[in-house]
Amino acid sequence: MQTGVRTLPGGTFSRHLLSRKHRKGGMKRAVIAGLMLTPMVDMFSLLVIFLLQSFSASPEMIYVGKNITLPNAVSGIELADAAVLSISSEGVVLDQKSVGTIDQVMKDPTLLMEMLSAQRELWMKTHPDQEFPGKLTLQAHREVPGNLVAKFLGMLPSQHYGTVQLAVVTAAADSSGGDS
Amino acid sequence: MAGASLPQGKAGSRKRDLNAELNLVPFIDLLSMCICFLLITAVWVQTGAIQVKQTHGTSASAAADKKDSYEMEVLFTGPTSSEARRQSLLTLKLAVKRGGKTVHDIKLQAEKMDLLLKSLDEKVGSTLVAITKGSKLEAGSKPGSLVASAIITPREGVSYGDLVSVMDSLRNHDIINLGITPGKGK
Repeated sequence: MQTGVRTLPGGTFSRHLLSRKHRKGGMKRAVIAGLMLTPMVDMFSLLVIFLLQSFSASPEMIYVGKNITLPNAVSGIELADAAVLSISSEGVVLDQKSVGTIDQVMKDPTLLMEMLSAQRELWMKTHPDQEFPGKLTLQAHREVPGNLVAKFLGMLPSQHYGTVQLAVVTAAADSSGGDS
Repeated sequence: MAGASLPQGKAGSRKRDLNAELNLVPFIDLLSMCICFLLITAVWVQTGAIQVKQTHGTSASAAADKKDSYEMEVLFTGPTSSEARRQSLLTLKLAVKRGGKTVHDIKLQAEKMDLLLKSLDEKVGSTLVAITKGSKLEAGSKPGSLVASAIITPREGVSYGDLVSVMDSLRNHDIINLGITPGKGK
């Protein structure tokens, strides 16, 4: 390292001279900045610990549409695997297949009934020795009229869907963020 | 970093140095990979379910036929109903029946839905205490098990979120068999 004519060894004293030069305005500011690894490693360790606490090995059973805000509930049970019927302002969707708008389905629910019946027949073909459980998951936006949801629920027993799971957002039971 | 090193012994024999260096670069790589994996697999929103059993031709209706069991009916209107706009009050009717006869008939009114839900929660608790006194409760059973089924009828102006809140309140009191029927008229 050079200051003026003489060459000085690197170290604390040379940094002191540099800072004096900076104060006097005699040199341009050094662009090299040291990376402090110790706090960075500390931060990474804390992040890993926090994310491990919220880690859940169970898969997400349903895909919640972007236009759907599920209602909150405290006493929700674990969601079982079943066909998903979504009701939102954009329309009615059964297992990612569009059925129609809410008005269309309420006027003529034939298509919805046919799709539910096809789902049931497919299940019975793939599970020949088992009784059809009749489970369906219903997810609806929280602002949808309750009476409308009740009408949809009233249509389902005709296709042997007697047990409906209403998808809700549950509060975490503990800080580990395990299955609800 | 302070360390200790043993003095050399005889010529040609060196003691092992106790100082060890920690390689931070692979450690930081490992932490970065852990963070990326955990961020991708993190579950931020817990979804659960409230089970509804349709009360026609299912086991819930069969359970309701028991003589010692109670049935609960909840009927309520929402903030946008004509009644709420006229009276500035929300109404909830809670009826407890046994053997077809009404045992308790309660009417709750409140200005806001959250106040109505709070008073419903209190009333259900006190009603369950009242019916527990007049019935034989099996050891280890909860008062809510005396209610074979609860039917909720949302009327005009009730949102799905409010309907779920009512069901959640009933489930908190261990009333498990819940059914929903559409309201007729206003």
